Amino acid sequence: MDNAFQVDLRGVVDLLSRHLYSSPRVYVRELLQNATDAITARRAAEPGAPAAVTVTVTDPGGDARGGGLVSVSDTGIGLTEHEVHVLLATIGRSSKRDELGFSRHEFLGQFGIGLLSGFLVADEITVETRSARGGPTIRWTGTSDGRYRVEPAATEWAEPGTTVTLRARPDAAEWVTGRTVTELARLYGALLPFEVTVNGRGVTLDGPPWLAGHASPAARRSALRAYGEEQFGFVPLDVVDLAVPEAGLTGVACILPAPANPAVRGAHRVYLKRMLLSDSADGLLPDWAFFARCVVDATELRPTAGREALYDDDLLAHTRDELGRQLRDWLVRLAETEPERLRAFLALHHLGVKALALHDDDLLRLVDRRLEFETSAGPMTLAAFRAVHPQGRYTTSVDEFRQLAAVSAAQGVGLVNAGYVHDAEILAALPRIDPAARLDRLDPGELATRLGPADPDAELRARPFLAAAARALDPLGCQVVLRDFDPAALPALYLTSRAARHHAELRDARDAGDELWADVLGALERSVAADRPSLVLNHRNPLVWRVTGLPDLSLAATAVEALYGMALLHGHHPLRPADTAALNRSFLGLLDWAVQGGHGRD
Amino acid sequence: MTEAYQVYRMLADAWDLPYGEARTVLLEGALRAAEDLRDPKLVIQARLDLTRAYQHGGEPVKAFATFTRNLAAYDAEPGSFEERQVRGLLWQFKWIMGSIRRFPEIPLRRALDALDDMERRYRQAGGLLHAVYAARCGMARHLGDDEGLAEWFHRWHVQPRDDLSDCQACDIGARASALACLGRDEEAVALAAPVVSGTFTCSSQPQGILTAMLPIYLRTSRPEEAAEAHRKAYRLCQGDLASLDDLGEHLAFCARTGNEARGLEILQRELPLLDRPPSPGHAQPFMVGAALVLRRLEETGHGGLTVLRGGREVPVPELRAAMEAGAREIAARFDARNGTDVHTRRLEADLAAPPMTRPLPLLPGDA
Repeated sequence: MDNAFQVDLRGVVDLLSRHLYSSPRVYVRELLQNATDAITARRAAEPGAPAAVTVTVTDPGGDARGGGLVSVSDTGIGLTEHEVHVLLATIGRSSKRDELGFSRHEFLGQFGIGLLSGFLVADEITVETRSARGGPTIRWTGTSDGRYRVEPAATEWAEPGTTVTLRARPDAAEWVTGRTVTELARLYGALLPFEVTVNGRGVTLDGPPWLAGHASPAARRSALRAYGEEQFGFVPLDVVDLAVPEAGLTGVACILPAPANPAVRGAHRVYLKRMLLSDSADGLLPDWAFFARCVVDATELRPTAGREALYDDDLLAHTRDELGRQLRDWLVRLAETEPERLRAFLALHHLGVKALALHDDDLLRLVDRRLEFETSAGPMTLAAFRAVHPQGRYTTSVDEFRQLAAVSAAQGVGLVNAGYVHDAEILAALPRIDPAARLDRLDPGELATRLGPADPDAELRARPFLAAAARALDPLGCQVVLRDFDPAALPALYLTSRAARHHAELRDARDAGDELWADVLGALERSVAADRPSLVLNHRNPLVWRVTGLPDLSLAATAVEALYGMALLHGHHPLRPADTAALNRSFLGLLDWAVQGGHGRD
Repeated sequence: MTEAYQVYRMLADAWDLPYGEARTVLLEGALRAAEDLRDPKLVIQARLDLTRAYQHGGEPVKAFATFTRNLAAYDAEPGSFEERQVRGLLWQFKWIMGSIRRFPEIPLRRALDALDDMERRYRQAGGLLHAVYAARCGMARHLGDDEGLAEWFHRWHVQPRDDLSDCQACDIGARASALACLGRDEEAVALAAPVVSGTFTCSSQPQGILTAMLPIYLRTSRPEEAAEAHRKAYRLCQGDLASLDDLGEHLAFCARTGNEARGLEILQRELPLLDRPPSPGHAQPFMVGAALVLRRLEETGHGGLTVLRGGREVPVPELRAAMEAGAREIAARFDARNGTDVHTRRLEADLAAPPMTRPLPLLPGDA
């Protein structure tokens, strides 16, 4: 014959409380769940049976025995004496988390598990019960050291039902006060389909607010916004109805009225069969929908073992996709019917919409036509920009945009600022909806080639100057070119590319590393495109024009260093130590020249 | 000039962004600003974060520069690193070892020297050898050294996990792949089973382990597991440049299971990523998966279709030829570097693999 292990109940309770449940507060939920299951089971056989859960809490007062006393009574199916022995005696028999899986598709097997959570706050639990299938009223008393006894109750009940009573341990007293129990019962049970009272006060609503009837759509909207505020602490910008029949899910999504951090996910309220599973559930919406907080009730989604989160299975994946689709449809509808509200929405949540547009053509069209980008011709939508600048370019950093927008526009190359999150990917994705769209990234190196050459004569005359300038800037890793471009007020432009910076990084790293790593980096050098930054001098600028004509080449070199430093500052490029030194040197050189009355140095 | 607190703010903001160009560019700016401030601690942190962004953002070649700069800074003055920064630097060594394998331009001698350097540093850090054995095992696999593979796998498997071990799912996934390489598919399935259904704490999971299990599930006749792994993992790695090699596995899966229509859909969606592959080692599996899907299209009478690439509709046979040629070229470079013919032999076997005899429905309801 097989023998069973003797299970130490205290150990099981410790295990549960430390690994399965996040807080002792779940005992209220488990007792409510037991009562709910009992009522559901009774009503399956007897549809007209009464349905109510009555919770009474007696605060401890001066009683030296410890904390308060809480009892939960239901009008459910009750237990026969045999069931009491079988079920309550085998608490803790389930040893695998999956068996503790709390799917609760079967009532009886779960009753004991639910009861077990009572030991999170109490050392002794009493169950009085009378079965709807007949038999006497039974009293079971269990203690956390694993002992229990079963006896006839002191009084015979007239009606079926169950009352569970527990007295808080002194260290758990704060979990068993009238206030805490009321709050927790309201939290977990507000949507239960029958009345739940705590010390005579009701804690349930009349069903899910999103299923309630209203006089008009406007009245419904304002009622749901008020409900959203109660649940989440903000007045939603809008409320979107949700329904996924396969998951037995209904509910609403509340749109945040302020910009949201995309990294903060979850925080949805999920009810399973009208009982709150979690007020911080994750995984219900796709990642891009971080601008919405949902309240939903579902019958088919599975909880994790601790019943505090959703189990990530195929049905949840399907639900997530479906809810994402419903939010997306809402957006598309808004674009067609209420453009002003869409504007308000986009102003707050363009990040999420952009993230979604990366994978969704309809949303990409919406972004293309409705969302304004910063461009060299002022704020406008990408669609409008493309109409004006079919060969336009974009920058991937805000600083680069600020530095180059005017120059680029003056060369007839329209520029979009795609320096914010997802912008560059959106622009790269545009050909998906418009194969003719060709917005490429602006390579500043390419801009240099767009700037018109200086007049050949002038260029030839400036050759000695350019040679001196090149010698001055070569130690700084920068080349010098002379161009002729608008705006004339701009004397010099420092153009670098990511490739140039990566190349410089790789070379610096090679020089800093030991032999092994110098070899590794050397081998990779060919895989990283070679490029150098350039200082573009504007021959159209009167100052530059005069500098190129300076007979004193050492003074000219000093002036070029000054122009170089200024161009770096103008473009918000950080100054390396060598750059700072060049700037200091040129400043002092020019000052020296000036105080000597402009008569050269000796 | 940007102030230190602003640079810290940039580093913090970057954490809120998904991996990709936006995050990388922000961190490049933070590094330049930190260098501008000449604040060594801040520079170290910015380089650590930027190395991570390059690695997970699909630009691993650039991680070499930031990583070795930090390594040199550490060697010059170990005390300038905080304890967690030292751990971060050593952690990143694992990525660099993976990248060294994937770039055939790095000579074999230097790749092996780097492994020794990794072991030396991990020993100094307190004899944390678990990940070192994993890296040695990975190198043996790459070189087709079956004896070395068995030996290093054994040491890896019996060595307790330590502070520098990969997360449970990453580690088990890699071990399952190694077991599969040793012809021990059933052991691989058993090893991965508890992890596959568990909870995950790492940005590369569960898509990493699920993708690794795809061919193993197929070989061991577990079509439902394979289909579920494909659905879950593809959703998580779609459009992710750094997962280009894994996307190739998903293409190959579609081709082998009679799902060439879905394969074509995925190929069309992900093909632009191949214009900027993170490394030759990432590009090759993608090209193989693409070639397999395209071959199945031809074999099932759809060779007249076209795929949009670089603004042009490319006929299926032409694209297939380009993918096969590209994959062969990379395999040849690996073989030249390693002085073997292992990669070419593996590639030809992969390209010639026949599809499963019975198509596998992808959705539970589609029988």
